Amino acid sequence: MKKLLRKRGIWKLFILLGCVAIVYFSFQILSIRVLSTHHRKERESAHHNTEVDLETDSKLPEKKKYLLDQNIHARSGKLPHEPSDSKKLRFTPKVNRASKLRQVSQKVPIGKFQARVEEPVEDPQVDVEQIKAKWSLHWTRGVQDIHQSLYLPDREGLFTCLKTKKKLPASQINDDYCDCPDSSDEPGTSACPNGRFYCRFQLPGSPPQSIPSSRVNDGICDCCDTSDEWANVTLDNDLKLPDSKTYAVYQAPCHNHCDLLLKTKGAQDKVQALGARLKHKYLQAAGQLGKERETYGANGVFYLLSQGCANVVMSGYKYNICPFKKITQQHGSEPTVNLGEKPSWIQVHSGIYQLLMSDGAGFPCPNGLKRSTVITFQCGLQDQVTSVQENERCKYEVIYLTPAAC
Amino acid sequence: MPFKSWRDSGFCRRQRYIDLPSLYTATLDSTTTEDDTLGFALHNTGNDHHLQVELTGLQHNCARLKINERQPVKPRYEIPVGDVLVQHPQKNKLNTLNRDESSVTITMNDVQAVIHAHPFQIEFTYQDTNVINMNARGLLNFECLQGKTHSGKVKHKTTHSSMYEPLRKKPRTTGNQQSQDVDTDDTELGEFAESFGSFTDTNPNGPSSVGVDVDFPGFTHVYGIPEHAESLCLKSTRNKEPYRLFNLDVYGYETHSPQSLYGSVPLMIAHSEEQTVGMFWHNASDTWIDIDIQESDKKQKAQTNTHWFSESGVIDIFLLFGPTPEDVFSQYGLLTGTTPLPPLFALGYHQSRWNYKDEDDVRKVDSGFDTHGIPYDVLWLDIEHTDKKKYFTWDKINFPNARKMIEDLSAKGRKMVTIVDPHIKQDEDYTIYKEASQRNYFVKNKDSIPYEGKCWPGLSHWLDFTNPEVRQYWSSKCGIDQYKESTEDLYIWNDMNEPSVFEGPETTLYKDCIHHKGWEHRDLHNTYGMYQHMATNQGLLARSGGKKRPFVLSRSFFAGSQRWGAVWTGDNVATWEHLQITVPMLLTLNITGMTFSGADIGGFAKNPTPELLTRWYQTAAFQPFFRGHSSHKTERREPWLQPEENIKITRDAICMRYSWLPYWYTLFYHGEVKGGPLIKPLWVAFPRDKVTFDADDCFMLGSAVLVHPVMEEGVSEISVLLPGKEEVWYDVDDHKLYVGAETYAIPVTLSKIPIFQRGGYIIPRRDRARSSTAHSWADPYTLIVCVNKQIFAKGDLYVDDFQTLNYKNGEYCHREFIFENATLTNRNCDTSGVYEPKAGVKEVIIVGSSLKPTSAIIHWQNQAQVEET
Repeated sequence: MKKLLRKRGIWKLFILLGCVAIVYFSFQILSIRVLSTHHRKERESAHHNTEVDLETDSKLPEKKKYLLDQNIHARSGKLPHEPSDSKKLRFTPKVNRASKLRQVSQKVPIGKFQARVEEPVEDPQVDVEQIKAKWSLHWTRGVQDIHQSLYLPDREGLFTCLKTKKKLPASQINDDYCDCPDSSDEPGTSACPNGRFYCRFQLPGSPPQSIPSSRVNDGICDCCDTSDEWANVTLDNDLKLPDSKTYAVYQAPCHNHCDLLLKTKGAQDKVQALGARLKHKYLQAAGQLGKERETYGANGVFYLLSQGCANVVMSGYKYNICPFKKITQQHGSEPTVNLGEKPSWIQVHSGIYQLLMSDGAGFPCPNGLKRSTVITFQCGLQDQVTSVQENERCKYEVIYLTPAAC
Repeated sequence: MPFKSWRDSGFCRRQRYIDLPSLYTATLDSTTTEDDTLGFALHNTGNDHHLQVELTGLQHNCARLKINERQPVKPRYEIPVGDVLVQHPQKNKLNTLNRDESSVTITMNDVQAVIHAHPFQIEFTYQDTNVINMNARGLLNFECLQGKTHSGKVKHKTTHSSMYEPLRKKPRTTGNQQSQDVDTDDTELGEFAESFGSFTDTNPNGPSSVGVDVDFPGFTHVYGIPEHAESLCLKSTRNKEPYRLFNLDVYGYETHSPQSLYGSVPLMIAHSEEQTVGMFWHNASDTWIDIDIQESDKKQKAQTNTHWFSESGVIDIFLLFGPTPEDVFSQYGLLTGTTPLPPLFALGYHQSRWNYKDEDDVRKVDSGFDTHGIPYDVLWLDIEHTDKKKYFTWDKINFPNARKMIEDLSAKGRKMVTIVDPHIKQDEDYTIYKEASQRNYFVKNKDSIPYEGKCWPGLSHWLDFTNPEVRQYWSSKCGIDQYKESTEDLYIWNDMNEPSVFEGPETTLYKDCIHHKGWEHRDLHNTYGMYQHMATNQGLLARSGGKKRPFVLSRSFFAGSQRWGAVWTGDNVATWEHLQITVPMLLTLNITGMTFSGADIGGFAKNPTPELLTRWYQTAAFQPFFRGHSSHKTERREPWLQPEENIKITRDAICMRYSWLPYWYTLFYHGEVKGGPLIKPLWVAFPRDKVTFDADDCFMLGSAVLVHPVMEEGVSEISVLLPGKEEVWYDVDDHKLYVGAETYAIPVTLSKIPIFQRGGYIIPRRDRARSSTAHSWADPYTLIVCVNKQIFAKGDLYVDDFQTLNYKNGEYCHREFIFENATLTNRNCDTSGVYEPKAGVKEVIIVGSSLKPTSAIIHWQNQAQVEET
């Protein structure tokens, strides 16, 4: 069958191919915003339509050529600057709209355009180091500390994409347009797919935390220090909730709440430290064990837990949880049900301790399944079961706090 | 089998095989002619029954043919205008060309009808081509109501062909007869009381079925009449089961079967290279359709013969003469309405499961999406969220702070949907039960006391949604003040509304149950679910003071349900066959008006392999309603519970859905204005290209995109038909060019499904994968311009506030993009739209042009600006 499929040498026709121009014009193509609703008739007339001509030769009219040159300058490595008279010519529609835009700044798409309007008018002779100093905060927005130096332009004023090594003018860093195929030129905006944004504030002593760059300027406060919502984007009015209550997340405009995070972290650190001391008892208990010690985790630290059972009642069900031995459930006067009695570790390193207790009772589980339970041990100051869940039929999950996991 | 074969159904046995010549004669000298309607009498010489026929010309090349008893002993059921039909269809003037005793010829615009007196039949021609014939094979059979005779014996005009002689044996009468006074004398023909398994239908009105043949000369392809898990192109049913339309709860249904499923749309579309015509059978009772396709050969011309029979009601047929597929869709849209533009969130990804068990579970699933960078918009709760399956209530143990839980989703810009079924738990502590009992709002059994059956809550009653007062009551229950803990971000899902009745005949209500105004359930069964859908939609609309667009999902549906929200294909199974069947099922729903439709991703029942689940996400991302849902007996399958590679591919598929939403939204807008499918069979886009007529493993998304999902296990290459001699196509992943009218072998990996943009079209996208639709409102657009052989392309973009009904008052913006002479023009194509969009175009990608641009000049209000390229 496949042989029948003809290809006819289409490959040769691919001259047509070529995703030719990635022309981006950062103005409002749906630009009726500028016109007030009282001028509807005007809008109907043709000259309000926007057009993009793709010039196919270099014979541009004098004025256009000048404009083109300006752009090439701006794009070819020189640091942001422009002659003072060019502003009017270059982005005429934009500049005309600037005052208007500020009034409705909420509606302005964060973009290259806005960034440009904010650009300082620099003396062409200005010292590169001085500009670096002035712009470094902008360029390193969303970059983790150890990579910050990579975002300062080299002597030619260029930035090198981190993985693909493509070179770009530094003005294209964080200009809200994705240029690097590896997404590395937009660490501080949402323009690139699969990028990561590192909050300015990081918890001391923890690995650096990042969010997907699609969360930058999305109207939700992800970083406690508000650094991800730097463009003051808010959700549409209909989606905004009243400030009077607290919710799972904060909506923009954001407020710094890093103190809360620090407090929580402080409390966790305290538990960790105290727990690590209590852990001694657990290691001691495993001391007399021989080779079989490692069945109970590193140095047999969970052995002591196998010597006892925890009894808890959740949603009317009684659970008897004996790690490494057997877990049972009982409801009212119904017979006891075996939730798993064959221990095996799912993971027992890197701070994650998950014990699977399999081979429990089968009936009436779907697909011939037998009941099983996953016990997740977490660091706590005493041995305590805090939750038992059946998120899937016949599959149970137990959260077990213990100093052994500290 | 819990469901009937045609042999189990008395009226089917009476209607299906009739071997006598037509006994009906039209008395054409009795003809009355108004401007727009021709009326005349029919006389059955076999039983002396008299019928009245009305042939009405309708605007836009449509006609209506209605046949009823001339003087019925009691009225026969007709669906109230406004429920299925949006309004009384606009009539068109008829001209009588010729009239004598043996025939009458009339014309209405391009359509001509010749009515023959004996034997009675009508030939319809469109621009001199005979396209539809009515009763040409003499199968018209209209059982007049007679009042039950004491013996239960009635003489019947028809005989059965000897080929089906075994049928004349008594059907099964095993099981307990529920009623002692049932007449069993007539069970042979099933005219009065009839048994099915242990169930007995007393059928007190006796035989009331109607049937007629409708033939499509010159056509070999017919489509439509959902819902069946069958191929797109309807098959011949000769010596097989007919297609059935009778809304039923069929858990884990079989694929490739004419068995009826959860919903019905009795619209059939016949298509040939020359013309497309449609036929809408406006009847809500148990309906069966036989199809016989004759390919052309030396002896005969190509023709498709169909035979329609329903258990009660009247014959009320709308004929839609096209002549193009789009014409048929808009003709049908004018009759039963179109799908209103949904709120944007409803086009995003929906995550559901039976059941997210408590607030903590909801929180974990919600944050799982954020942790894994996967966008989604709506989290769904199935029946377990309620207090003992009392709908509009909450299980206080597992959902003690439901309002807070919903608000936490709202804070992220997301929504929640809860299930609300039509059965009402018999429980004195349940307000709705008490109120509905007092007000007499339940469906009654044959003895006129509220029907009692079983469903999820145990003993239950069914609200009679066919009663407008009950619908009004139900709508009020959706109010924020009535539905405790609800907010405007809580939406509703109507399940089990066929209705599903555990231990009922065919798992539904008895046909002799009694509704509003005394109509039998038999008369209106197929519209029951639609009425609940309608009432819930109206409730959500009223809740926001008519401001916000409702979103309601329903499992059961009928023609016209598209006006009330989305539907899905019910309890499917995690198999490759079920993934494959989603394409023809959803295409069929799309061409019959139910455009906002989807299938449970991964299959509701059983566990999909990671590969199947990933392929399912890739496919569903290009189907209108995009929801993952699964049974409580399955393993959890949120996208991040898959192997690492599958998580990534699933994320990409969902992100792709989100980036294409501007295109989807624009398609939905056109769908509301003009009707017609969002996802289209290939033949709709290429109606003169015969090779497309049978294709149902691929589809068009709008006019600009062809999607060929990978729906087989472990394949590394699939064969893709790219139609159109003059067309060029571009792979959306690498912009590789393919010329049309060829079949290509496309290599695929797990991350690849072949999707092509058609040359000549521009697609708007939003490429930033935000965590839900709420966050993208200010994001810039990207235009993908794919040129055709003339280096031309066009497209458009519709934008509004994405959630309110203000667009009906002109608050929208519709822009058209044209790429021509190396110039891309962006213009306002609808000056009555006054909405100011929050975002602009930031990027234009031009594909396929051999011109190598050196610069771009942007003209904006007479001023030019240049950007380098």
